[in-house]
This record gives sequence, structure tokens and C-alpha cells, in this order.
Amino acid sequence: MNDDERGLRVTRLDATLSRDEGGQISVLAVLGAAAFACLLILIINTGWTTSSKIGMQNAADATAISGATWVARALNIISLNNVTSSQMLAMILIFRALDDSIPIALEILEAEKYAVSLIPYVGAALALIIQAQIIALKVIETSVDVLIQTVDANGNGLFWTTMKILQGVSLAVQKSFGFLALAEGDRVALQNGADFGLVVSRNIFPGVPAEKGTMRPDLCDPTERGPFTEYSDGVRTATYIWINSGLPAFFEASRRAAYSSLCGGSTEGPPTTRRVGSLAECRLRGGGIAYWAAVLSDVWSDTPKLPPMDAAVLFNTREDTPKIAERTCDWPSPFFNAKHHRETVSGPRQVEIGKDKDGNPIYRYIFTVRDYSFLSAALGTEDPAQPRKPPPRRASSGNEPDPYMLTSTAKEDLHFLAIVYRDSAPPVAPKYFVSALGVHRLAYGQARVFNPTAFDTFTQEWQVTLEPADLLEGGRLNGLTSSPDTLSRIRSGASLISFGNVASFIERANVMQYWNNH
Amino acid sequence: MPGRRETVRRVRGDAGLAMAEFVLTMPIIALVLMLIFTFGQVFLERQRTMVAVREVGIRHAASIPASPDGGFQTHADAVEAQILAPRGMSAQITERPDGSCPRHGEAADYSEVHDDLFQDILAPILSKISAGRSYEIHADGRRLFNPLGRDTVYENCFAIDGNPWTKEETGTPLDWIKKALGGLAKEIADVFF
Repeated sequence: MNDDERGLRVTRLDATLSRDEGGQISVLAVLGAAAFACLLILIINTGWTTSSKIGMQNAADATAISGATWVARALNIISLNNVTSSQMLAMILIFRALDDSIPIALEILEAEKYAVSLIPYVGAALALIIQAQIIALKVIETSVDVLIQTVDANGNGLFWTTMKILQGVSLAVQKSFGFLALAEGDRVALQNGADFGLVVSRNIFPGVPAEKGTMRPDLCDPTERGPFTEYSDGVRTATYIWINSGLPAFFEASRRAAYSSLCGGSTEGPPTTRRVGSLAECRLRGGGIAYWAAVLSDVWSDTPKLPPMDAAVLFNTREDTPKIAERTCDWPSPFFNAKHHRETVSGPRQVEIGKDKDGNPIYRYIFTVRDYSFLSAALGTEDPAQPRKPPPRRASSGNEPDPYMLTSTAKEDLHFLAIVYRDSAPPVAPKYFVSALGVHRLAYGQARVFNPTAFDTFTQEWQVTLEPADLLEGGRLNGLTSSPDTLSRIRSGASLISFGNVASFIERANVMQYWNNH
Repeated sequence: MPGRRETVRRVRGDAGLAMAEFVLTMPIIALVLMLIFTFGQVFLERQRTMVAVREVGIRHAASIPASPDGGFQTHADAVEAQILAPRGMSAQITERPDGSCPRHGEAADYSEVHDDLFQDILAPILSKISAGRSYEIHADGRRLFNPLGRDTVYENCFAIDGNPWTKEETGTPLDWIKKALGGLAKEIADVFF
């Protein structure tokens, strides 16, 4: 075959191929199937990555909650210790008060017994009753003596020792539970599929924001406001069995004296507030501050006169500011003891609501009113806006049970950011599906330790809740993380707490460069 | 028979050939589409189970401070009704008190904590005093296409340590003493304390 023949044959083949369209659909189908296969891979990788991210976020949230829970536990244990100490202190004071008051009452009873025995006819019976009182009181006196020797013993008894042990427990908890928060955060992160989890607070190390206070006033005041008053009420009620001896009054006087001698009196301190359930009781007991829930509402009326409260049609009810109004107990009237009170704020406003059959406009009237519902009252006449000055802090003798109190920066230190890390790549064709962060996956979660009842270490209700990760987003850690020595600070912090593996892991994975790029 | 094919081609030209090829490729494309749809659905259902088990854990942990029991079953039922049932999924959610989520095919390792010091000292402490819990979900998916011929079962686990030892959970020492005293002594103690 020469060149001419070969050229002619190629030309014919070209012509044949260009005319013949057979197989083109197959080619297209193969290309389409390949495209669909790519789509399938994309869907698998995307689905897997999304699942992985959800898993990581779950791990981050669980880590934040679990780490913060140990700090909440620490505060709850400290609160339990403080409350237990205050209960023991209250009992010691009550035993001392009984020890002082019972002998006086016994002397009076002996005198009474002698006096009534002189009364003809009934004297013997009355003397017998008083003798029964004397016997019962002597049994109590003996019991109190034994108890005082056991639990008090002038500051060396069982209760004092226990209080000091509890103080030691609080110290141990305050120092150690931050480590447990770290360890538990890491453990929970691992259990939820991460490679590591780290819990940090504003100061990197998730410490327990508590410090040692002093017995006076940090333990004495809560004792007086809480268990001492509560238990004294119970004991005083029981002493009415010996009312003819004046025991209730002697006990009350001794109780105050015992408190003053141990805690230095309470006249300088915050007022002792006792809640009562009605305005009448508040007034009878000398007045105080009443708390009312206040709401603003609009009221319909057919006439320009405000209808009675039980007949009014309320609408557009909304919270007032403040929600809880504080008034003296003689408000709104010294002789008025209702649970509700209403004030007109504005109105009436005339509103046309339609026309009658004669075409005359029909009007209604709208009043804006403030409704008060009585909640409770606190006895005492102190102005809540100007509370009395707290008593001066007295230096601890070193031999006293000092409670653990929150630090002044506790509110800021009770936010815990969890960082969880996982090394992961897409399951199908990973080298063609590379993300900007490579195989490094980070997720963040933040939890807050809070107390719904009182922000103190005498209320064992510390809990944990998730919150937006503002330690990172709000810039509270950003300044730290953008500084060049961040890694070294975290590493030194981590090695300080013997968390070296995590620190080296952070360094090896070079995680910090992704910190602000999540 | 090349001769016959040529004859047919001469008579018909290429008419119908494209249709035949298209019909032949349809099952492949349908299969790939079915796989795309199935994988998408599987991932969605898998993600739902992850969200559901996490939701049970978080809700239960949040309710424990108010009541030590925490009403686990109530939360499990609510989450199943709110998250899984709308997708036609059903699930069995269980609670384990050891706070561990063993990876597939592995035994539970409660003490898995980084670093030797933590491993040797803190992990045993944690295993004794930690109140961690884990929640396991075993959910059945509902397939529109079922190329594998069996129901898809999703299993997931969520571990969390969430009870902070509030007064509701622990009681007070006075409560412990009263409980230990029992009987008349408890009644008398109740009067005064």
C-alpha cells in the first residue's frame, strides 16, 4: 500500500465515522455515570463530614458540661460544708443558751412549787404539776450538759473539730476539682469520639473560684439569718411547756447573749429578715417591706369610669419594670389587707368600636392600669435600697472554722470553654476532598456554672447550662489566642497541671493556627 | 452476521439506535441515583439519631439537679416523638450509669484519660466518684429504596457527666442523721430542726 492508497483509505474511514453516530449515547452515558458517581462520592463525603461535625459538636457540648459540672460540684460541696458548719454553730449557740437559761428557770420553778403548795385544796396538785416540770427540765439540763461537753467543750468539742475538718475538705475540693474538671472533660471528649478535649476558663486553668473567708461575719451572719433563727423558733416553742418559769424569755435573752459573745452581735450586720405571708402579720410584728408582683394591663370599659377589679376585662397584659415592687407593709392603706391592688396609670382613652343601627358611633374606653399582687413581706423597717453596713471583717484566729466564699471575680470565672479536636479525613478519595483545615477538626462548646437561687456558697444549688461560646466569639480569649505566646502559655499551663500529652498533641497538630479559623 | 447488519443499517440508518443505548444505560443511571438518594437519606437519619441521643443526654442532665431521678424515660419518649417519629423512625434509647461509650467492636474503657499521671491517679478516682452517664440509641430507619434488602439500623452513644450534686440530690447531713435515727427520734428531730 503506497502513500496515496493509504491516504485515500483514511479519508474514507473519516467520512464513514462522521456519518456513523452509533455509540455516542454510550459515551455520553459513561460520562454521565461518571459524573453521577462523583456526585455520589460528594454526597457520601459531605454526609460523612456533616455527621462528623455533629458528633464533634456533641462531644464539645458534653465536654463543656462535664468539665463545668466538676466546678459546680466543688461549689456544692463547699456550700454543703458551709451550711453544715452553720447548722452546727447554731446548735452550739442554742445549747449554750439552754445551758444558761435552764438553771434560772429551775430556780423559779422551785420557788413556784413552794408558793403553790401553800394554796389550800389545789396547792398540792399544782405543786405536783410543777414538780413534773422540774423533773423534765432537769432531764433536759443533764442532756444539754452532756451535749455541751461533747459537741462544744469551749471550742474543742466534736462540732468544732468537725467544722475544721469540713473546712479542710473545702480547701481540698477548691484546690483539686479543677484538675478533675480537666480530666473529666478529656475523658468525656474521648468517649464521644474526639481525639482530645480541653476545658479552659478565662484564666486557662478551670479553677474553682472560692477562697477562705472568716468565721465572723462570713459564717456567723448566714448562721443567724438561717439555722440559728429557725432552730431557735422551734426550741422557743417547746419552752412554752415551762412558760410559768419564764423559760421562753430567758432562752431568748440567753440566745442573743450567746450569739453576741461568739459572733460579736448582729446590730452592725444586715437586718435579720423573716418572711411573713400577709400584710396584717407584717404590721402586727412591727412593719417591714412588702413585695408585690407588678404587671401593666389595658382594661376595657363601657363607661369612662374604671370598672371594679373583678369585673374588668384585661387585655395586653405585660410585665412592669421592675417586676417586683417593694413597698412598706402599710401600703396601700394601713387598714387594707387585700392581696391585690390596682392603680390607674393613664386613661381613659376613647375608642370608636363601630356604629349602632342608627349610625351613631359606639365608644369604649381603655385604661392602662398597674396591678399589684402581694407576694410576701420581710419583717424589719430597713430601707432595702440602703442596707446597713456589713460588720467589719475580723481576722481569723486560725483556730476557727472559716467558711469558703466566692471570689470577687467568680462571675467571670464560671464560664468554661471546651475545645475538642479530631484528626479526620473524608472516607472516599480523601486526597481529592481536602478542606482548608486539612484533616484537623475542631469544635467548641461553652458551659456556665450558675445558681438559680442565690449566688453564694451557702446555697447548694449550683448547676450547669450550655451557653454561646462567647469566651471565644466575644473576644475574651481572642486577645489571648492572637498573641504570639499563646501556645507556650497553654503548653506551660498544661504541663503545670501534668497534662503534657494534650499540650504536645496541640503542638504536634498545630491546632492553634486553626483556633480562630473554625 | 456482518452482511445482515449492513443491510439493516442501510435500510434503517441510525434511527432507534440512540434510544436502545439510552434504555440500556438507564438502569445504571437509576442505580446511581438510587444510591445517591439512599446515601443522602441514610446520612440524614444517622444525623437525626445523633441529635436525638445528644438531646436526651442534655435534657436528662439538666433535669437531674431538680430531681435525682431526672425523668429519663420521659425525656427519651419526648425526644423520640419530637425528633425521630416525624421521619418515620423508631428508636430504643437506654441509659447506662458508667459514662462510657465504647467504640464499635471495643470493650468499654472507662479510664481513658490522657497522660500517665491522669491515667494512674485521676482516672481511677474518676471511675469511682464520677457520676457520668451514657445514653445509647438503637434506631430503625425507613428506606424509600432498599438496595441492600434489609432495614438500616443506627446505633449511637452520648456520654456526659451532668449531675452536680445539688441539695436535692444529696440531702443534708441533718437529713442523713434523721434518716439514720428513724422512728420516734426522727419525729422529735423534725420538731426542732
